[in-house]
Amino acid sequence: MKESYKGVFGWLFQRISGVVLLAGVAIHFYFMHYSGHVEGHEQTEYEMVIKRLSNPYWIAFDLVFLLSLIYHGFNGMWGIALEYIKPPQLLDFFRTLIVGSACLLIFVGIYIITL
Amino acid sequence: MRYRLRTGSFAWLIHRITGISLTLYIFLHLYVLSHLKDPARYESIMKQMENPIMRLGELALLILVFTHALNGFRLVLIDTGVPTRFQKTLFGIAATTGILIFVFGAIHFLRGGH
Repeated sequence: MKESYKGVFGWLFQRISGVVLLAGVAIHFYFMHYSGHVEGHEQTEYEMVIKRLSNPYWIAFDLVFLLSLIYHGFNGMWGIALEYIKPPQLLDFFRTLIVGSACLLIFVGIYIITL
Repeated sequence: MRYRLRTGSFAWLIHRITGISLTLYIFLHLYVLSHLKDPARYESIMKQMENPIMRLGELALLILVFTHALNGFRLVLIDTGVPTRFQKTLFGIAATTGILIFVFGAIHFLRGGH
């Protein structure tokens, strides 16, 4: 009972984070990779990125984007692991690997966003 | 387990492969950005990106992202209760939007963008 409840929660959040990411990736590509390049020839890549990272709205956007992305990506990996990996010990190993990677990337991501 | 490859299961397989690739790409992306602390190092990494192989890589990434995103959106619509008779139409709309983004992106990369 508890497991199936958790399953529904994971299923729903995978979809919610997915929709957030669809909007997020469009905004991310447009502002980080498209508009800046067209307008900002006089600035270096570095200055452009740093300028954006000092804007509180971009910091908020990046945090939501980062957390949705890591959740979505690693929850997806966990779903695939559950489907293919049968031995419990191997599954435990993958759980540790997935949770560890997610934590590491959240840590690095927040470090970059708050530079 | 054996899978029959039809439109639906083909989309499912593609979704899985692109999903795994994109998750692995997060490591590379954040690794590169973690050099922002050192402007000179960051610029030198950006300079290394200026070659045809990296250009193709950027285009491949764009394809991976939008294949996964559009197919994912199609899945959400189906899960939310869009009647199954629209499934193939949805796949068609997603594919067309994807091709448009690909062309748009390719032109952007050819003009020297990232």
